[in-house]
Order: sequence, then C-alpha cells, then structure tokens
Amino acid sequence: MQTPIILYDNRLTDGTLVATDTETGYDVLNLIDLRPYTFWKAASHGTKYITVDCGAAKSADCLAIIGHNLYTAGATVSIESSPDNSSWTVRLADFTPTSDKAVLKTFTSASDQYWRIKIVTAAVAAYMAVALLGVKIQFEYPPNTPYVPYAETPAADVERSKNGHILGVATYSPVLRIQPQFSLVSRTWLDTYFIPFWQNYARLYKPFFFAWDLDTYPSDVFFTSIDDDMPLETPFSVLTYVDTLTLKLRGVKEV
Amino acid sequence: MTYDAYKNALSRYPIDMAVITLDYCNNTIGVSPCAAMDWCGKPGLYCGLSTAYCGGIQIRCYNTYATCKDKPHYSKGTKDYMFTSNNAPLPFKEGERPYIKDIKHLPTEIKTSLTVAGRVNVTLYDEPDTDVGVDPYLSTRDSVQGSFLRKLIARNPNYAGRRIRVFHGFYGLSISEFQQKFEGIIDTISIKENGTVIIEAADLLKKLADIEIPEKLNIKLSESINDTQTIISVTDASDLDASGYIRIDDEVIYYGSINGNQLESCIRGCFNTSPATHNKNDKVQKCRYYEPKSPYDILIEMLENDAGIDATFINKDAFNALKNLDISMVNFSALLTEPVKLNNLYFEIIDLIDCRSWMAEDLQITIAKNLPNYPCREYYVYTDDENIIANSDSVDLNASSRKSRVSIYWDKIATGKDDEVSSYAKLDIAIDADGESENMYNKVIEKKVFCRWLRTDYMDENLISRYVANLSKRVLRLLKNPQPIYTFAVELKDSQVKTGDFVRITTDKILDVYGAPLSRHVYQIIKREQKGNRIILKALQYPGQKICFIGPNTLPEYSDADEAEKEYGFISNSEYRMNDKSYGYYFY
Repeated sequence: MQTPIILYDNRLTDGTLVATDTETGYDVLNLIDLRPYTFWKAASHGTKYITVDCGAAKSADCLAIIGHNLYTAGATVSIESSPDNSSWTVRLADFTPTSDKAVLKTFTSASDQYWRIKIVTAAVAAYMAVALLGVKIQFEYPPNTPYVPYAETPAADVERSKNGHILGVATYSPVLRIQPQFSLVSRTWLDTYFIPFWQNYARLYKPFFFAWDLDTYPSDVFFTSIDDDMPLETPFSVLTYVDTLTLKLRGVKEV
Repeated sequence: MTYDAYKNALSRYPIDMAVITLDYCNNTIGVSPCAAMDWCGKPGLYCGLSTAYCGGIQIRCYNTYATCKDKPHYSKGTKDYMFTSNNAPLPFKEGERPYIKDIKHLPTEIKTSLTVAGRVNVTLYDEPDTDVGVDPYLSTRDSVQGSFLRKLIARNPNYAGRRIRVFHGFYGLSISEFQQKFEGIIDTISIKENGTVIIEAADLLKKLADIEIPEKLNIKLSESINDTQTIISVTDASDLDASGYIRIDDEVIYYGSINGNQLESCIRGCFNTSPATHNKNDKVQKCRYYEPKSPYDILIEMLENDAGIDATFINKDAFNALKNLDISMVNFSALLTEPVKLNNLYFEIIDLIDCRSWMAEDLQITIAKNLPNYPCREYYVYTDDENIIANSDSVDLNASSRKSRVSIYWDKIATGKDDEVSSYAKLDIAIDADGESENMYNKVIEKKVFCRWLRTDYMDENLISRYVANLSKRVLRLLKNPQPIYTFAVELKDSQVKTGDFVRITTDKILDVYGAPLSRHVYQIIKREQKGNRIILKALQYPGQKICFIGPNTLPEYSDADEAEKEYGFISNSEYRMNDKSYGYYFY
C-alpha cells in the first residue's frame, strides 16, 4: 500500500515548453494552463518529445496527465532528463496507460536542467490536456479508516408523465468529493510540505492531482481542487503533531 | 449512435453548444499587405532598432478591426469561438470551452397579426485566460492578463450584428452530429454582477423590425417647381433608384431617369394625386412601389431583397406551395410614400392572406395557412399517459382573442395616413350576429384591418371585392369563438415537434360538453421553448369546423374513414354535424 500523493509542482512551467510538432490550434502551452479542456496535440503519430529547459538543475519524481488519448493511441510514455540537452537518461521507463483517464506515475527522484516527456505512437497522433512533471508530496500515513475513496453525487433531471411513467433522464457531470482525514500528522511534514502547498497553491483553488493508494488502486487518480468551504485547520494537542488534518477536495468524475 | 438514438434513450448527457462568429483579419501584422510597423517593444532584441529609428507601433493588434494598426489594409475574415455546457463532459476536444452556464430560449411566438421574433440568451462563465490560441502574437507580449470573454469583448466592440448559432447534442456525438437549434445575430452582450457574461441574440425575422421601407433620405428640392414641370432638380439624387416614384407634399411623381441631380421624364400627379407647385427646400421622399403580383412573391421579395436575408433561410417551398394552392388569390400592390417598418408590411400581408409566418426550428422562415385540416398533413399526438409531463400543463381560455366582427378598410388613397379610416375608399364587414346576440356574448368586438395592399386601379374590382368579402369571413371564422391556449411540457424524446406544427392532443385538462377529455383535437404549436430536457409547448386550439377539400374517389363513407381520410371533406346532416357529433365541413 502506498500513502496518498499530491502533485502540484511542475517542471514544465520552469522554462519555454517545446514540442516536436504540434497540430494547428493545439498549442503546447495548453499543457500547462491547468485546464482540462485545452489540449496539446501532436501533428502526427511517431516519436514526440515535450521538452523544457529549466534554466538550472531541478528535481522531479512524479508525472501526471489528464485529458489524453494515450491509451487509445497505444502510446508508450517515458520521462527523460539531461544536464546538457544532449545526453538523456531515462527516469521513468516506458509505460502505456490502461485507460484515457487521469494517470499518475512516480519514479526515483532526479535533478537535471532539461526534462522531457517522450511519447511514441504507432498510428494516432497523441493529445493531452494537462501534464504535471514535478516533485510529489507524499503523506506520511494512510488516511483514517473507514476511508471513502470518493463520493459521487449524481446529477440528473428525471421527468415522469402525468400517469407516472419515466419519460426520460438528462444526466449531468457528477460532482466528485474526496474527504480524507489524517491523524497525528508530524509538524515537520506539515511545515515542510503541506503548508507551502496550501499557501502558494491550494488556497488559490488551483487544481492538482491526488492519488490515495497508487499501489492498490492505481486508477484512482483525481484532478481536483479544494472545495469551496475547505478551511486549513491544524489542531494541536502535542506540539510535534497535528491532531487531525482534513482535506475537502472536489473534482469532476471522468466519463 | 445518432442524435435521435440518444434523444430517445432513457438516460443521456445533453450538451448545449454555442458558436459565435466574430470578425478576424486575414492578414499578419507587418506582412504585406499589412503595412503596420511591427516593433517588438524590446529594442535591439527583435529588429535591432530602437523605437526612435523604426518608428513602429508599440503594441500589436489582435487581428480585429478595433485593434488594427493599419485600417486601410484591414482584410475582413471571420473566426469562430465555440462554447459548450459547463455541467457536461467535454464533448469534442476541438477547441471548445465549457463556459455555458445556461441557454435561455425566448422562442418565437406566433400571434395573430404578428410573430414575435425568437431570441436566445446565452449565459457564459468567464475566467482568467492565457490567450493561447486566441492572440496570434502571444509570444511577443510582455504580459498576459484578463479574462477570456471580457478580453474578447474589448477586442471586438463591433460584436453587434455578428452571427451566433446554438446547437444541441449529447455526449458521444461528434460535432457534425449536433443539431442546430438557432441561427441569429448578436444583439447585446452584458457583463453581470457575478462575472458571468450574457449574449443576447435575435433570429433573422427580427431584421424586419430594423428596416424601413422606403428608406429615409435627406433630399430636398433644390429649385421650386410648378405643376407641369417634367424635370425636377433635387439636392442629392445619388440614393434614388434609376427610375421610380417620389412624393413631394401630397403629390406622387414618377421619374423616368436621373441626370446628375436632375430627375427627368417626370409624370406628375400619379396614383390619383394632384399636380401642384412645390417650393425650394420642400422635402422629397423616395417612394417604394410594389407592383401587382402574388402576395406570396411579395413576401419573398421583402425577405430577400428588402431585408437581405439569405435564400437558404427562407422556406420557398412553403411559400410556393401556398401560392399554387391559393388559386382564388388576387394580386397585391402598394405604393409606400412614407417610411414604414418592414415587419409591419410583412405581417399585414400575412394577415390578409389568412396565414401565419415564423422562423421555425429548422432555421427557415416559413408560412402556413390558418386551416384546421389539410389533406396529407402529419400530426404529432400528445396524451397525458405517454407524453405530457406531470404538473406541467395549464389552459388559458384566451377570451380576449374573440372578435364578433371583422372590418377591412381597403383601396387606400396614395398619400393618406395608414391608420385613418378616411384614407380608405372601401370597407367590408363580416359580422357574427349570433355571437353579438344577448344569448351569446352580447358584445360587439371589432377587429379593424387597414389594407394598403388592395386597390381597384390595377385589377378587376369585382374580383378584389369578392376576395375581401371572403377574407373578412375567413378571419371571423377563426376569431368568433375564443381559441384556448394549452401549455404543457414534454420530455426530449418528444421534442421533434416544431413551432407551427399541427398536433392532436388528448388531455384531461380540456373536456368536451359530455365531460370526457376532448380527444385528439387539433392544435397548432405557437411557441416551443426548451428548458433543460423539457420542451414547453404552447398550443392554440383550432375550431372544430373543418374546411372541405375535394378528395379522391376512393374515400369511404365518413363513418368508415380514418383520421387521414377525414382531412378531406364529407357531407354533414341537416344540423351541420357529422354522425359522430363533430362539426361538419365548410367551403373555404
């Protein structure tokens, strides 16, 4: 079992993003705008790189992608890094997503100036909406039990005839809520990882990736943001621990 | 799956789509023919020159006219902006933005003597935007800020009158399979308190209300004229037709040609007006003469020529079918000596030929006659059991629609006021004496029709008199009893019905005199409004009396005839009733 992961850090925003080629109207900058409805799309199938020069050596240990066709396209995806934009080292070995839904992969942390996502497709041009490549935040412990991986509230208009028959149902995107609670979170972890995440990112309602147990439930990867009413509350009884840390996250269920 | 397959499925994701088409320059800044000097804002880094030397512009355009730096070379093209429902999965991944909060259809409504133009309000969320895919010169900007729609408005302040289309579909359909539900022009855009943006648009029939026929021109006599002169000097003849009619004071004058600012070959005192002397600086009003022709042709002329509506948006088949059906129709003609709103003219004729006209959901302006039955007409059937949504229906008895007499004033004096009885030489009245009696409504309610389109000077007077007499009776036939309006909602699966369609409705909201639901009665849909997955329909009840059409000789007896066969005519009993107690047939 793996403890929950948050990925919000992104090397791809550290410099100018360059793609091997791009279909007209699908700018590579769409990859880093955090909008799952604007896309980068390759101009053709084949081997494509999304490369960034970070200006100086920087670390990464996690990749997450949403809004893609990498499964449908039969793509193999890998991550490479380089100190000089010439000799490249594979950091995340080839993998093929098992669906076109959000995917998150971790790898051994490395530091380099140049990073690139390598995508190889045989017949179909690949596209992606959002890609994050950076340093993950990993919680120290699993969430408290019983844990609800996600709560999904269906949204629909159901119409019935004057005599009671169902005439039709119009369904809408269900709202997805995730509310993990963690007990006895160390003050050090909180101050080092979570508070900067909250201050610089989460409280601005910027979206991030969340996976609660990548080993057992690798497809439970969500692109979420904090819910409208999530407070940052860190109750202390003992100074070195936070009694409870509750996340209130909200996203959209991918269909 | 097809649109219809999704529509008929029990559960599906409905999606709205709106596409607005705004102006967009075909040029690239600084590239011929665009002569705007292209300075990057960073001297020495881009062109190697400082602003003092290159003399260029400091801010690039956004390829719109309002931001253009070289307007003489502006090359007008278009760019589409596509938006889809915010509460549904992203359907295409082809550049659409899921900003649609709500689309409110304020649909066309067919009313007596008028059709209310359809309108659509599209409410969109706005959000901070990176300009990727929007700003062609994004990489040269020092900074990017602002929200998507507010930037779009700032860069396109000339949005009014530009095209907007609204589509409906379901998640799983491709963009080409979405069905277009509205085509119109942007009227206004407003930014609301909560940051949302509302685009208001109207359908193409609305154009008629914005046009005056004949147009107002600032023309005056440049010299006084006597009552016999055939050459007339005006201040500016450039906007007059090569030949035609003008009005000065109460005289209508025909001119045969124009030479500079002189009108030549003039014929004085046309249309029974009197030649007179006129003074320098007297107003010269351009006239519009609709020559005698079928009213159906005049209607198309108004739409195509006067309003400039593209022929693809006009259901000419419907106009021509009625023209061929209406063999007793007379020619219409009018001389307009003062500007009149085109929609008034259009619906005057619609009224005078006992028709209704509207822009239907198939995005075509169409026409239909006010007939309760018509052979081969198809009817949608709605019942409480299978179609009508619970607690959605109500009835307006529409008592104010009743009239007891119809007066048609016609043969208008050319320069007379449109709405004054004294401007018309003839009058025909149809009276429902029974309805005015104390045993019925005991009240006289008159519908006055001022008709500028029928005169005695271009056609056999008897023919026109007979037409007007019949027309007054036909109009009264529809209006002598109130026409109840039944409003109800159906689900998407029953959404195929369109405005103007005829339907048969059986509902317990409307009973016959025996206490049973008025079964399969004929209504016309006069308003159709979609709200989410509900279609709200307003249906106008037609009188039970049918029109008699001569049928094929294979028609059975009335008692053996099915509904389709009963659309023709049958002979009633002596009490004008059929053997199932329904009303008998009437000759039109």
